[in-house]
Amino acid sequence: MAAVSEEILRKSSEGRDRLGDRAGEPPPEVWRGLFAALAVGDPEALEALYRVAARRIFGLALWRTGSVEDAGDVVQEVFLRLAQKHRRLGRVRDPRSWLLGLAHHVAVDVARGRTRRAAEPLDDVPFLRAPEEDGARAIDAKRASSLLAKLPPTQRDAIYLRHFAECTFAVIGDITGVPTFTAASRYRLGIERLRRLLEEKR
Amino acid sequence: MRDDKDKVEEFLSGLRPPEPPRALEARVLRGAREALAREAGRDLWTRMWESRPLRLAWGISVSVLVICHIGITVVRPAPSPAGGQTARAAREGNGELAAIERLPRLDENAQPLLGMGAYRLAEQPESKPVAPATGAGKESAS
Repeated sequence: MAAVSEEILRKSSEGRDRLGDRAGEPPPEVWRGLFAALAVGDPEALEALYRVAARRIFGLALWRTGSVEDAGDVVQEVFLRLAQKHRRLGRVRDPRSWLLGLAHHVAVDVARGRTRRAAEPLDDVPFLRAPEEDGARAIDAKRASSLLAKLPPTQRDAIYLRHFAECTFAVIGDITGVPTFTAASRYRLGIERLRRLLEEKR
Repeated sequence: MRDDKDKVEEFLSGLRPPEPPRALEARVLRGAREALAREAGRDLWTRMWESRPLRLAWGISVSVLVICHIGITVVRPAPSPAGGQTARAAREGNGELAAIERLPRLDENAQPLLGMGAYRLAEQPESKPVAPATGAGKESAS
Protein backbone atom coordinates (compact mmCIF):
# COMPACT_ATOMS: atom_id res chain seq x y z
CA MET A 1 0.00 0.00 0.00
CA ALA A 2 2.87 2.33 0.79
CA ALA A 3 4.13 1.75 -2.72
CA VAL A 4 0.86 3.12 -4.08
CA SER A 5 1.28 6.37 -2.20
CA GLU A 6 4.91 6.62 -3.27
CA GLU A 7 3.87 6.16 -6.88
CA ILE A 8 1.18 8.80 -6.51
CA LEU A 9 3.68 11.19 -4.94
CA ARG A 10 6.16 10.54 -7.73
CA LYS A 11 3.51 11.34 -10.32
CA SER A 12 2.57 14.41 -8.31
CA SER A 13 6.12 15.75 -8.30
CA GLU A 14 6.46 14.99 -12.01
CA GLY A 15 3.26 16.89 -12.69
CA ARG A 16 4.50 19.80 -10.60
CA ASP A 17 7.75 19.91 -12.56
CA ARG A 18 5.85 19.81 -15.81
CA LEU A 19 3.36 22.48 -14.84
CA GLY A 20 5.88 24.72 -13.12
CA ASP A 21 5.91 25.97 -9.58
CA ARG A 22 3.05 28.41 -10.18
CA ALA A 23 0.59 25.60 -10.58
CA GLY A 24 2.04 23.62 -7.69
CA GLU A 25 -0.99 21.35 -7.74
CA PRO A 26 -1.13 17.72 -8.75
CA PRO A 27 -3.61 16.68 -11.44
CA PRO A 28 -7.11 15.48 -10.37
CA GLU A 29 -6.25 11.79 -10.76
CA VAL A 30 -3.52 12.18 -8.14
CA TRP A 31 -6.02 13.66 -5.69
CA ARG A 32 -8.45 10.83 -6.39
CA GLY A 33 -5.68 8.24 -6.02
CA LEU A 34 -4.67 9.67 -2.66
CA PHE A 35 -8.26 9.72 -1.45
CA ALA A 36 -8.77 6.13 -2.64
CA ALA A 37 -5.62 5.03 -0.81
CA LEU A 38 -6.73 6.83 2.33
CA ALA A 39 -10.20 5.29 2.06
CA VAL A 40 -8.70 1.82 2.48
CA GLY A 41 -6.66 2.99 5.48
CA ASP A 42 -3.20 3.57 3.99
CA PRO A 43 -1.29 5.71 6.55
CA GLU A 44 1.30 6.68 3.93
CA ALA A 45 -1.47 8.41 1.98
CA LEU A 46 -1.80 10.87 4.86
CA GLU A 47 1.78 12.00 4.42
CA ALA A 48 1.39 12.21 0.65
CA LEU A 49 -1.80 14.22 1.05
CA TYR A 50 -0.11 16.56 3.50
CA ARG A 51 2.61 17.28 0.96
CA VAL A 52 0.16 18.21 -1.77
CA ALA A 53 -2.61 19.87 0.26
CA ALA A 54 -1.24 21.38 3.48
CA ARG A 55 0.02 24.56 1.81
CA ARG A 56 -3.38 25.33 0.28
CA ILE A 57 -5.28 24.48 3.47
CA PHE A 58 -2.91 26.56 5.60
CA GLY A 59 -3.13 29.53 3.23
CA LEU A 60 -6.92 29.46 3.09
CA ALA A 61 -7.17 29.12 6.86
CA LEU A 62 -4.71 31.96 7.42
CA TRP A 63 -6.63 34.29 5.11
CA ARG A 64 -9.87 33.35 6.85
CA THR A 65 -8.81 33.38 10.50
CA GLY A 66 -6.01 35.99 10.35
CA SER A 67 -3.87 33.98 12.72
CA VAL A 68 -0.92 31.67 12.03
CA GLU A 69 -1.69 29.71 15.17
CA ASP A 70 -5.34 29.22 14.22
CA ALA A 71 -4.39 28.26 10.69
CA GLY A 72 -2.14 25.53 12.11
CA ASP A 73 -5.04 24.31 14.23
CA VAL A 74 -7.26 24.24 11.14
CA VAL A 75 -4.76 22.08 9.25
CA GLN A 76 -4.56 19.70 12.20
CA GLU A 77 -8.34 19.49 12.52
CA VAL A 78 -8.80 18.88 8.80
CA PHE A 79 -6.36 15.96 8.80
CA LEU A 80 -7.93 14.57 11.96
CA ARG A 81 -11.35 14.58 10.29
CA LEU A 82 -9.89 13.00 7.17
CA ALA A 83 -8.52 10.14 9.26
CA GLN A 84 -11.75 9.71 11.20
CA LYS A 85 -13.94 9.62 8.09
CA HIS A 86 -11.45 7.93 5.78
CA ARG A 87 -13.87 5.19 4.70
CA ARG A 88 -16.12 7.73 2.96
CA LEU A 89 -13.33 9.42 1.02
CA GLY A 90 -13.50 6.99 -1.89
CA ARG A 91 -16.89 8.42 -2.85
CA VAL A 92 -15.69 12.04 -3.14
CA ARG A 93 -15.90 13.18 -6.77
CA ASP A 94 -13.72 16.29 -6.61
CA PRO A 95 -11.27 15.73 -3.73
CA ARG A 96 -9.45 19.06 -4.06
CA SER A 97 -12.60 21.16 -3.83
CA TRP A 98 -14.01 18.92 -1.14
CA LEU A 99 -10.87 19.31 0.95
CA LEU A 100 -10.80 23.08 0.51
CA GLY A 101 -14.49 23.17 1.45
CA LEU A 102 -13.77 21.19 4.61
CA ALA A 103 -10.86 23.52 5.41
CA HIS A 104 -13.12 26.53 4.89
CA HIS A 105 -15.80 25.17 7.23
CA VAL A 106 -13.25 24.32 9.92
CA ALA A 107 -11.64 27.76 9.55
CA VAL A 108 -15.02 29.47 9.94
CA ASP A 109 -15.69 27.38 13.07
CA VAL A 110 -12.30 28.24 14.54
CA ALA A 111 -12.73 31.93 13.74
CA ARG A 112 -16.18 31.95 15.37
CA GLY A 113 -14.87 30.16 18.43
CA ARG A 114 -12.22 32.77 19.03
CA THR A 115 -14.20 35.95 18.91
CA ARG A 116 -11.74 37.69 21.22
CA ARG A 117 -9.18 37.74 18.46
CA ALA A 118 -11.62 39.22 16.01
CA ALA A 119 -11.16 42.62 17.65
CA GLU A 120 -7.39 42.48 17.33
CA PRO A 121 -5.82 44.24 14.34
CA LEU A 122 -4.62 42.03 11.51
CA ASP A 123 -1.91 44.42 10.29
CA ASP A 124 0.93 42.13 11.31
CA VAL A 125 -0.54 38.98 9.81
CA PRO A 126 1.70 37.73 6.97
CA PHE A 127 -1.00 37.01 4.39
CA LEU A 128 1.64 37.13 1.67
CA ARG A 129 5.35 36.55 1.48
CA ALA A 130 7.92 37.47 -1.16
CA PRO A 131 10.42 34.94 -2.47
CA GLU A 132 13.40 34.84 -0.11
CA GLU A 133 15.88 35.93 -2.74
CA ASP A 134 13.84 39.01 -3.66
CA GLY A 135 14.38 41.55 -0.88
CA ALA A 136 12.67 44.40 -2.71
CA ARG A 137 9.41 42.49 -2.95
CA ALA A 138 9.43 41.86 0.79
CA ILE A 139 8.23 45.44 1.32
CA ASP A 140 5.47 44.88 -1.23
CA ALA A 141 4.49 41.70 0.56
CA LYS A 142 4.19 43.53 3.87
CA ARG A 143 2.17 46.28 2.25
CA ALA A 144 -0.10 43.82 0.47
CA SER A 145 -0.66 41.97 3.73
CA SER A 146 -1.67 45.17 5.52
CA LEU A 147 -4.10 46.00 2.68
CA LEU A 148 -5.59 42.50 2.69
CA ALA A 149 -6.13 42.83 6.43
CA LYS A 150 -8.61 45.63 5.70
CA LEU A 151 -10.85 43.38 3.59
CA PRO A 152 -13.75 41.39 5.02
CA PRO A 153 -12.88 37.69 5.42
CA THR A 154 -15.42 36.63 2.78
CA GLN A 155 -13.76 38.84 0.14
CA ARG A 156 -10.31 37.64 1.22
CA ASP A 157 -11.51 34.03 0.80
CA ALA A 158 -12.73 34.74 -2.71
CA ILE A 159 -9.48 36.45 -3.74
CA TYR A 160 -7.37 33.67 -2.26
CA LEU A 161 -9.34 30.90 -3.93
CA ARG A 162 -9.46 32.68 -7.28
CA HIS A 163 -5.97 34.13 -7.41
CA PHE A 164 -3.83 31.58 -5.56
CA ALA A 165 -5.85 28.33 -5.66
CA GLU A 166 -7.02 29.08 -9.22
CA CYS A 167 -10.59 27.97 -8.63
CA THR A 168 -13.51 28.89 -10.86
CA PHE A 169 -16.32 30.96 -9.35
CA ALA A 170 -18.56 27.87 -9.37
CA VAL A 171 -15.98 25.96 -7.35
CA ILE A 172 -15.48 28.94 -5.03
CA GLY A 173 -19.24 28.93 -4.50
CA ASP A 174 -19.17 25.22 -3.65
CA ILE A 175 -16.27 25.65 -1.27
CA THR A 176 -17.69 28.63 0.58
CA GLY A 177 -21.31 27.48 0.41
CA VAL A 178 -22.69 30.41 -1.60
CA PRO A 179 -24.14 30.71 -5.12
CA THR A 180 -21.71 31.25 -7.99
CA PHE A 181 -22.99 34.78 -8.50
CA THR A 182 -22.25 35.67 -4.87
CA ALA A 183 -18.76 34.21 -5.11
CA ALA A 184 -18.04 36.28 -8.22
CA SER A 185 -19.51 39.36 -6.60
CA ARG A 186 -17.35 38.94 -3.50
CA TYR A 187 -14.25 38.61 -5.65
CA ARG A 188 -15.12 41.69 -7.70
CA LEU A 189 -15.84 43.79 -4.62
CA GLY A 190 -12.63 42.61 -2.98
CA ILE A 191 -10.53 43.49 -6.03
CA GLU A 192 -12.18 46.93 -6.31
CA ARG A 193 -11.57 47.67 -2.66
CA LEU A 194 -7.97 46.47 -2.88
CA ARG A 195 -7.42 48.73 -5.86
CA ARG A 196 -8.86 51.73 -3.98
CA LEU A 197 -6.66 50.97 -0.98
CA LEU A 198 -3.64 50.72 -3.26
CA GLU A 199 -4.37 54.15 -4.74
CA GLU A 200 -4.95 55.71 -1.33
CA LYS A 201 -1.58 54.50 -0.10
CA ARG A 202 0.31 55.98 -3.04
CA MET B 1 -13.17 45.79 -13.49
CA ARG B 2 -10.53 44.58 -15.93
CA ASP B 3 -8.24 47.53 -15.05
CA ASP B 4 -8.79 46.93 -11.34
CA LYS B 5 -7.94 43.28 -11.78
CA ASP B 6 -4.83 44.02 -13.83
CA LYS B 7 -3.52 46.53 -11.30
CA VAL B 8 -4.11 44.21 -8.38
CA GLU B 9 -2.69 41.20 -10.20
CA GLU B 10 0.40 43.17 -11.08
CA PHE B 11 0.78 44.16 -7.45
CA LEU B 12 0.27 40.59 -6.20
CA SER B 13 2.42 38.91 -8.83
CA GLY B 14 5.37 37.06 -7.37
CA LEU B 15 3.92 37.15 -3.87
CA ARG B 16 2.73 33.93 -2.25
CA PRO B 17 0.84 32.89 0.83
CA PRO B 18 3.25 31.63 3.51
CA GLU B 19 4.14 27.98 3.89
CA PRO B 20 2.89 26.13 6.96
CA PRO B 21 5.44 25.99 9.81
CA ARG B 22 7.81 23.02 9.59
CA ALA B 23 6.93 21.81 13.06
CA LEU B 24 3.29 21.55 12.05
CA GLU B 25 3.79 18.56 9.75
CA ALA B 26 4.99 16.19 12.47
CA ARG B 27 2.20 17.28 14.84
CA VAL B 28 -0.55 16.95 12.20
CA LEU B 29 0.61 13.60 10.86
CA ARG B 30 1.10 12.11 14.32
CA GLY B 31 -2.46 13.02 15.34
CA ALA B 32 -3.94 11.86 12.02
CA ARG B 33 -2.08 8.52 12.11
CA GLU B 34 -3.30 7.86 15.63
CA ALA B 35 -6.87 8.67 14.58
CA LEU B 36 -6.55 6.43 11.53
CA ALA B 37 -5.27 3.51 13.62
CA ARG B 38 -8.01 4.06 16.19
CA GLU B 39 -10.65 4.16 13.46
CA ALA B 40 -9.30 1.04 11.74
CA GLY B 41 -9.47 -0.88 15.02
CA ARG B 42 -13.21 -0.38 15.42
CA ASP B 43 -15.38 -3.20 14.07
CA LEU B 44 -18.62 -2.80 12.15
CA TRP B 45 -20.91 -3.22 15.18
CA THR B 46 -19.00 -0.63 17.20
CA ARG B 47 -19.19 1.84 14.33
CA MET B 48 -22.92 1.19 13.96
CA TRP B 49 -23.46 1.57 17.71
CA GLU B 50 -21.56 4.85 17.79
CA SER B 51 -23.15 6.20 14.61
CA ARG B 52 -25.54 9.04 15.41
CA PRO B 53 -27.66 8.67 12.19
CA LEU B 54 -28.12 4.96 12.79
CA ARG B 55 -29.11 5.51 16.41
CA LEU B 56 -31.57 8.16 15.26
CA ALA B 57 -33.02 5.79 12.63
CA TRP B 58 -33.36 3.05 15.27
CA GLY B 59 -35.14 5.42 17.64
CA ILE B 60 -37.54 6.59 14.95
CA SER B 61 -38.33 2.99 13.92
CA VAL B 62 -39.09 1.96 17.50
CA SER B 63 -41.26 5.04 18.03
CA VAL B 64 -43.24 4.36 14.85
CA LEU B 65 -43.80 0.72 15.88
CA VAL B 66 -45.01 1.72 19.35
CA ILE B 67 -47.34 4.39 17.97
CA CYS B 68 -48.78 1.94 15.41
CA HIS B 69 -49.25 -0.71 18.10
CA ILE B 70 -51.12 1.74 20.30
CA GLY B 71 -53.18 2.88 17.33
CA ILE B 72 -54.22 -0.66 16.44
CA THR B 73 -54.91 -2.04 19.91
CA VAL B 74 -56.20 0.86 21.98
CA VAL B 75 -57.90 3.18 19.56
CA ARG B 76 -60.77 1.09 18.09
CA PRO B 77 -61.95 2.05 14.64
CA ALA B 78 -65.57 3.24 14.19
CA PRO B 79 -67.87 0.78 12.35
CA SER B 80 -68.06 1.49 8.69
CA PRO B 81 -71.38 2.97 7.42
CA ALA B 82 -71.83 0.23 4.84
CA GLY B 83 -71.32 -2.56 7.38
CA GLY B 84 -73.81 -0.97 9.75
CA GLN B 85 -76.40 -0.65 7.00
CA THR B 86 -76.04 -4.34 6.06
CA ALA B 87 -76.39 -5.47 9.67
CA ARG B 88 -79.47 -3.30 10.17
CA ALA B 89 -81.08 -4.63 6.98
CA ALA B 90 -80.43 -8.21 8.09
CA ARG B 91 -82.04 -7.55 11.48
CA GLU B 92 -85.08 -6.08 9.75
CA GLY B 93 -85.64 -9.29 7.74
CA ASN B 94 -84.13 -8.60 4.39
CA GLY B 95 -83.22 -12.17 3.43
CA GLU B 96 -80.86 -11.37 0.62
CA LEU B 97 -78.80 -9.09 2.75
CA ALA B 98 -78.88 -11.60 5.59
CA ALA B 99 -77.49 -14.25 3.28
CA ILE B 100 -74.69 -11.93 2.24
CA GLU B 101 -73.91 -11.14 5.83
CA ARG B 102 -73.78 -14.81 6.89
CA LEU B 103 -70.40 -16.09 5.88
CA PRO B 104 -70.57 -19.83 5.19
CA ARG B 105 -66.95 -20.39 6.11
CA LEU B 106 -67.69 -19.13 9.61
CA ASP B 107 -70.85 -21.21 9.93
CA GLU B 108 -70.29 -24.32 12.01
CA ASN B 109 -72.76 -26.32 9.88
CA ALA B 110 -71.40 -25.24 6.56
CA GLN B 111 -69.99 -27.89 4.24
CA PRO B 112 -67.01 -27.42 2.01
CA LEU B 113 -68.06 -26.41 -1.45
CA LEU B 114 -64.89 -27.28 -3.24
CA GLY B 115 -63.39 -30.57 -4.32
CA MET B 116 -64.99 -33.88 -3.35
CA GLY B 117 -67.08 -32.26 -0.66
CA ALA B 118 -68.98 -30.31 -3.29
CA TYR B 119 -69.84 -33.50 -5.21
CA ARG B 120 -71.06 -35.21 -2.07
CA LEU B 121 -73.22 -32.22 -1.31
CA ALA B 122 -74.75 -32.40 -4.76
CA GLU B 123 -75.54 -36.14 -4.35
CA GLN B 124 -77.35 -35.62 -1.03
CA PRO B 125 -79.91 -32.91 -1.62
CA GLU B 126 -82.19 -34.08 1.22
CA SER B 127 -79.58 -33.53 3.91
CA LYS B 128 -78.84 -30.11 2.70
CA PRO B 129 -76.99 -28.20 5.41
CA VAL B 130 -77.03 -24.52 5.88
CA ALA B 131 -75.81 -23.38 2.54
CA PRO B 132 -75.93 -19.84 1.37
CA ALA B 133 -78.62 -19.21 -1.15
CA THR B 134 -76.93 -16.20 -2.57
CA GLY B 135 -73.36 -15.29 -2.59
CA ALA B 136 -72.24 -18.90 -2.24
CA GLY B 137 -70.67 -18.70 -5.64
CA LYS B 138 -68.61 -15.75 -4.56
CA GLU B 139 -67.45 -17.48 -1.42
CA SER B 140 -66.62 -20.71 -3.18
CA ALA B 141 -64.84 -18.82 -5.83
CA SER B 142 -62.75 -17.13 -3.22
